[in-house]
Amino acid sequence: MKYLKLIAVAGTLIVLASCQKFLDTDSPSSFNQEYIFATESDASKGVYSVYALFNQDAFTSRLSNIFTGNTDVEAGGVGAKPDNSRRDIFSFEVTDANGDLRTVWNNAYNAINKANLCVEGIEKSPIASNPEMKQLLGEAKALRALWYYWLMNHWGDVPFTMTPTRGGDNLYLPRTGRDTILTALINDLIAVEPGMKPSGQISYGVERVNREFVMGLIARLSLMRGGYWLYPDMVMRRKEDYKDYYQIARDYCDKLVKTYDRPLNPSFARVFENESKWIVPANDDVLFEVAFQPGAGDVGWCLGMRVDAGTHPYGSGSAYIGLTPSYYHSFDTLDTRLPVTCTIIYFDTNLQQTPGAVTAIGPGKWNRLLMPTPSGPQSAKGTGINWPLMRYSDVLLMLAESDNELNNGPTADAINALKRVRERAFPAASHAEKVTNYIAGVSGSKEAFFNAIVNERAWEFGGECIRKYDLARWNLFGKKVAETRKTLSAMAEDANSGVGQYSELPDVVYYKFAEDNTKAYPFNKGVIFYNRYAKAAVVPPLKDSPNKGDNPNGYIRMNWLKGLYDTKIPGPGSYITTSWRGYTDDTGMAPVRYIFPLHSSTVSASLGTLNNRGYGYQ
Amino acid sequence: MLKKVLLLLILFNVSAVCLAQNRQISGKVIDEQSGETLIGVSVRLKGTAVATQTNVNGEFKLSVPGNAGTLVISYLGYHNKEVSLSSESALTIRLKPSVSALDEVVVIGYGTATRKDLAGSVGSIKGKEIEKTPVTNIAEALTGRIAGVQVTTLDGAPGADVVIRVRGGNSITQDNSPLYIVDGFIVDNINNIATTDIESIDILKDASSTAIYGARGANGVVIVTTRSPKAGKTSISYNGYGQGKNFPRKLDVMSPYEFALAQYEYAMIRGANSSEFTNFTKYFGVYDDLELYKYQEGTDWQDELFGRPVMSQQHNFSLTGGTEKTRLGFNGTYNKDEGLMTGSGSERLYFNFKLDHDISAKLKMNLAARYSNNIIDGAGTSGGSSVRVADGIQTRPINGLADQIVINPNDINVGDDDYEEFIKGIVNPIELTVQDYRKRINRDFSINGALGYTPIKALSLRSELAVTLRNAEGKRYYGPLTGTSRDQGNNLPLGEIETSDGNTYRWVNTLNYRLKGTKNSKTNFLLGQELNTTSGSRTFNRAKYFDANLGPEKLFANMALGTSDRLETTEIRGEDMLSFFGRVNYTYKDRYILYATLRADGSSKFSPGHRWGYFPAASVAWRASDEEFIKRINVFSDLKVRASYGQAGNNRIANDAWRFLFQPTANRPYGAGGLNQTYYTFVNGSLPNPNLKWETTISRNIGLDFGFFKNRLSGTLDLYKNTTKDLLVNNDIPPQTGFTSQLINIGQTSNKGAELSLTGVIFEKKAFRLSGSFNIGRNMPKIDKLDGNDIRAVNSSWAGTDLKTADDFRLIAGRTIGLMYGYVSDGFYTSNDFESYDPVTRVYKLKAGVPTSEGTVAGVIGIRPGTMKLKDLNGDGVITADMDRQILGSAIPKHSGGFGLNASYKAFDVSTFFNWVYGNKIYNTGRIQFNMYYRSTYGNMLNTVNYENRFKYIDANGALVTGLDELAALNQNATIWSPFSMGAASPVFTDDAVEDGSFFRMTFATLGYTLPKVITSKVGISSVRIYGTVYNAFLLTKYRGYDPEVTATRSGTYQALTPGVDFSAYPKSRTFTLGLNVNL
Repeated sequence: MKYLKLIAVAGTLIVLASCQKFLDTDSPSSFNQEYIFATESDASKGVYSVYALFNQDAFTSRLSNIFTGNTDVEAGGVGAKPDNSRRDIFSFEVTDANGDLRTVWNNAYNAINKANLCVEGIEKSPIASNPEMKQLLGEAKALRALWYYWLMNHWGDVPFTMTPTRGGDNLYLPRTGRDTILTALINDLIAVEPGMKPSGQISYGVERVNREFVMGLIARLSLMRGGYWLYPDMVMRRKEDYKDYYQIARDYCDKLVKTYDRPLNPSFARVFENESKWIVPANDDVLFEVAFQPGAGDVGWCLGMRVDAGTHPYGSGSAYIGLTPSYYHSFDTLDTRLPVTCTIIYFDTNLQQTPGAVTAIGPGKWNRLLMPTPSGPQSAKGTGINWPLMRYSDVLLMLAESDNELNNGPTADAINALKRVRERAFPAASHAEKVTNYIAGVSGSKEAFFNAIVNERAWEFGGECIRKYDLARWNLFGKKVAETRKTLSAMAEDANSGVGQYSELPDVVYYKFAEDNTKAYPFNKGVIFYNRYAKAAVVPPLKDSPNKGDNPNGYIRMNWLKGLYDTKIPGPGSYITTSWRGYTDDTGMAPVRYIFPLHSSTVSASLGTLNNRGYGYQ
Repeated sequence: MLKKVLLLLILFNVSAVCLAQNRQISGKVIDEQSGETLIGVSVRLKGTAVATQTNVNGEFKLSVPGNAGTLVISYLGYHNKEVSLSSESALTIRLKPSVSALDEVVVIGYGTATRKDLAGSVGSIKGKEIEKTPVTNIAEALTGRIAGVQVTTLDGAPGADVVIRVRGGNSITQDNSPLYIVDGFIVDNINNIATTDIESIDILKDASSTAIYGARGANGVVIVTTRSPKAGKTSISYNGYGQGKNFPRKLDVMSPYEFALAQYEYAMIRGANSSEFTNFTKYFGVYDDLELYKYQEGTDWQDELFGRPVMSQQHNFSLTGGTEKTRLGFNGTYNKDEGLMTGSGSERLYFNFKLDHDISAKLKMNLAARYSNNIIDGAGTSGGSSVRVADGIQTRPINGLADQIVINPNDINVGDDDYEEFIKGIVNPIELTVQDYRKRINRDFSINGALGYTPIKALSLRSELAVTLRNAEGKRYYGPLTGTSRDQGNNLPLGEIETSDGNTYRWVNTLNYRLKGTKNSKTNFLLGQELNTTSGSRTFNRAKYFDANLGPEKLFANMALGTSDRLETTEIRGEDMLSFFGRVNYTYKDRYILYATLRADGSSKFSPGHRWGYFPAASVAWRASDEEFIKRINVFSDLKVRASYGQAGNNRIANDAWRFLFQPTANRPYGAGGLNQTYYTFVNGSLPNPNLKWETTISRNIGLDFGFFKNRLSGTLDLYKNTTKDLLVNNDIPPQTGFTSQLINIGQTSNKGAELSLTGVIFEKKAFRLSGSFNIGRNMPKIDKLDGNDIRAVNSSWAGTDLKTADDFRLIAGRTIGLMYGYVSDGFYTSNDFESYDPVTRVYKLKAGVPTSEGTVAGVIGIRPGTMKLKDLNGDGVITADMDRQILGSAIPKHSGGFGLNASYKAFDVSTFFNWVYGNKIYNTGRIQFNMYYRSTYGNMLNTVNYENRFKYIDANGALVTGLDELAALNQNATIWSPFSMGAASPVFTDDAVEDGSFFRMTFATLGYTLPKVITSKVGISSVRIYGTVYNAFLLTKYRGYDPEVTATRSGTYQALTPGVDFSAYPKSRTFTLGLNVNL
């Protein structure tokens, strides 16, 4: 009996002694924060966790495109009634039950928290002063700023933190003012920018956040901070100190131009073809583009030239968001950006180039047919086409804009910046008129030059889905929406009646197919338009009219601006009446309610710290 | 009594003569009633260690010293019998079956007890019962059999998960599965145990019984004991069956003509100029042609997908035998189960080998090795599978003109986002099941060894070591038709192989000591220590861009043919747990029984400082029937009152939920350089909480065991209340933290309930015997406290985020869980609700005071006569999500239970079992989804909304009717709103989809026939039984979906919070079985 007791006691003691250690379970497959930010290579994998959140539907098919409709440039199709889908976002009718709101919000804060973890990890790292670590720190901070920028553009004042969330923290942050957030982010980036590397000195170049982009981002954030925004009482205001921020914007654009200047790619089309062809040139137009590997990314599927699935190996793609006919006709017809930005043809199931309707003018900058490896007959998403977040011409135009604002009119620097953008856009032969004379004509006053910037940014960035942000900060959103609807209505009426301001524009277009209108043939040339930008003075010989076989080589007639008119009402058709339905002020004086409500789940999870009061939501 | 005295006297005389002489006694033990020989019966000379067991012929031989003595004959399921030895050396002993089962041995934690001596609440089912119902799955055998134990099969797919809930389950968001113990060893599930190998299943229901398992006992403990080897002549038996299955219930879908007519109407509403109408005409022809579809037989997709006749078979072979000192048993089972759905099925191989060896009288050894290999084919219809049961309903029965001519379906102009649905619309679901290939192989190998040492009679020591090695392999193939291939794989096949290994070690040491008490009191002590550790590894390999014609078999055999996409390896460190426990059992005069237990558990799932949990429990019982005054009443043959109180814990949360850990992954990575950039992500998706601690359940139970008429009728009544504190809740936290949830200890829930079970022999004559069992239980779960927020909205997510106002469940402090929350249907708008119709603007103007559901019910028809109408609960004239929804019903049944009858007459035996659930509501998603065009292009609907029933907008000539009066005239007999009321991607949840889920099911019926011994013994076979069984024989229910008992969900997290949602999962089959039992 005794020895048994002894064994029992001894056994228990041994077990107890080792028990605390026994209950510690560590796997060689998991790591803590210190470990990850102790080496450059692991730290970069840490930062890639922030980048990875670009490869989510929240970004690829939501934030990067559908969240930015509808403006005077980009407009997505809207149904007869609100349907709780993306179409409600287009028409300013989104409600707190729209799942896309949650998807994007959650993804944004997931990215911000991961960026916060990276910032903290790098700052605490023993090798924090290594140049590569400083670069990574800048990347994390810039990505954080970018997500906050989008959040504020869509939800106004939002909860703000620059430290990663921990278990014991107050999880119920209230909203912070946009001015506070923007100032903090701008200062944060100003501090980190000098330690960063230019795109030419980092692996994967402009597919990663680099010094040039951060300079541009400082300017972009500053212009937002210096611009107008919508307050919950439905008034657009800007802060008194706005000029300080225009100064920062000008300084950083100028710094970028002075330190990392580069010629704009002489071919506007090439800039985007490169993306579709998976080419990432250095020191070109694009300062930073979101990189998608083959099998990822929605560019060319939900935003790009329409391709219908058939037996061909390119799969299908279309666009959630199209371009407005008024925008299309606002272009100078010599502008090389027009055929690149706006496509009025698409590729049918046999890859035949085919004209589309006036209400379906597509973004032509990206095209899945150019992908080096076709993605298969029934493929859809996963094109691997990159998405540009900032181009050099944006920096030039921001420079021109801030300079004009600060100096009460454009200085030589501003004029030169605008000139560089327009020179690339027009063929050399028309430079005298379209560049020199044009700029001279708009440089007379601050207002004229500002208006020129407003227009130039539309023509330069159409389809790139940044117009909404510009219109908001300029306090032009309401005006432009009202204007667009008015213009489109007039175009429809005039096309129908044949008289009026727009009666010279084509009510119908005549086209025929080129001998070769296949994919191999240059885009936009497979369909030969008899008239494209003006009304045909005489009706060209029509195909098979009046009798079949009469004129096989004749033209085919297609409704153009007439397609905007609904003879049954009679009046402007549903495209015009529904696309901006939630905005009802035809004078354009009222602000557009571009601020979204928080998703109902976000409100309920906040336990009362967040609500949807204001902006007319409650 | 007189007889005994006489016998004794005789014995005394005889023994005096033969004193001190060893002699051989032989005998035979038979069943008193049937006369069947009993095998493995223990025969012991009273007060000595001299013992043996009967052999396969029921015979024994025993060498006894001297002439006197008494033999004690004991056998599971029979009353013990004492036989005084006489001069007779060949005895025939007749044992009486123990009807009351009071002497039945019940397995409790780390030991056994007879039911008579229990103080806790334990429900049991014996292997013999299960044998009568040839099912492949233990859980199926348990359904409805034990009061307070609810068993639900997630869906009818082979290998589908089975949910077992003991007394409702306590946690609101954590796993409520009971703890499973097989032969003393904790396992994850009991799916891999062959039903033929079961000796008994005991379910510990109250904390006084479960507290000995401490940490993990809060949700009850299911103890499975497999058959133990018996000494004697080697006995071999074979059990086998073949099974046919069919699809018991089809939903009535629209005929080809009705289908085309509805599509025509839908297109007409869109307008004769709409692309919908143009396309309709293109694909289905003009109105006058539609008549032709009356003569076309459409494809019955329910038949195509689930209707094929399928076969299953099982073969079981068992062997047991050995010497008195060394006994061995073997059980081998092969089972092949074809699923109703094309391409689905499971195949299983099971071996269990046991060896018991008595090294000496004091030292005994048990060894067991179990191996199971389980192959599951098919992606099923839930989770990430491409095919849904809905495809059986929604797939169009005809292809219109395309059935006659070849058209290019790609011409259909669809909304881009609906592309997925559109593609599915042209893909044959059967082809898709082939391309959406999945195969899962699970191999479990466990070895258990135990050494028992009894140095002195009062003390026994036992040490057990168990090792389980688990190997799982999952193969997933995505053919070109699947969405994954289109979006991620260049429209070429993709392959994923996931393999994982797991090792679990468990070491238990126990000490049992029986205190030398007085004549009246007995005290037993149990002291123990237990250690568990788990580790494993996982490899995930994914490659894409395989040749289009490469099938799954070739692909997985040659992954190098593709382009590697992801390769991930992980070392898994599971939970480590260290435990100490003790139990005291005190009995006074066999009448007053006390159990007290204490367990301490340390778990690595919590941070240092929060790791240890202490779980005490106590129970008392009073066997009143042994009291003189009760005996004098002479009513009760058994009467026992029990009371218990105890605590048990729950720590079933992910490992490392308390700390930040990162792991590398390449899942949806960034694509810099066109490459998958591996990144570090959180090991756990929720925000770590360093303060996590054990969830504790306090349970209180009072019970009454009773028996009448010499225990011909016996029963148990239990009342309980369980309270769970510090619930481990995966709490929704503001997503702006970067996380959407965090595990916290919060709130309190409780379950109150009552359970009654009865068993009895209804009729007993020599050749005829009829017995029955009955159980009923009622459980009332309640949320006592929440996280300060007294109402929480929960989403069932059956329609993803499509559902209009997606929060369709409520958790309310003070109420039960499973509250469905939605709009109240008010039929449909009639012409009387409208003031006017303007044919130019096409606007229907509602009369003042008629509430509008605009914005909520947002279909193409807008608000017009025939649109679904909702009740304006707050009377403000507009239907809003905030003000016009209410609780529509509760998924919690009022009671549930079952009853069974067993009868035998001569060589025939009949047994049957019925179960029911009463008073619960089911959220029938099919009622919504299948009566609208939910995300379908040219899809079909249920016949509920055929032309006759629905509110329609086209007249007999196919013309669109818009005027108020004309609509009223056309729809005089309409009974249901227009299926176009709701937006194609915005279904609305109303009380119309909340249905009574009560049902009554004949779980099975079996008829068996045992061949006469005279015949079988001639060929050396001791018994042959042939039987036939119908499983799921019939179902009485008003429920309109497939099956009120099937519930599955695509979102595991919220499963517990949103019960009662019928996702139209893979339906249960009806099976017909023919089987054979042979004993050699």
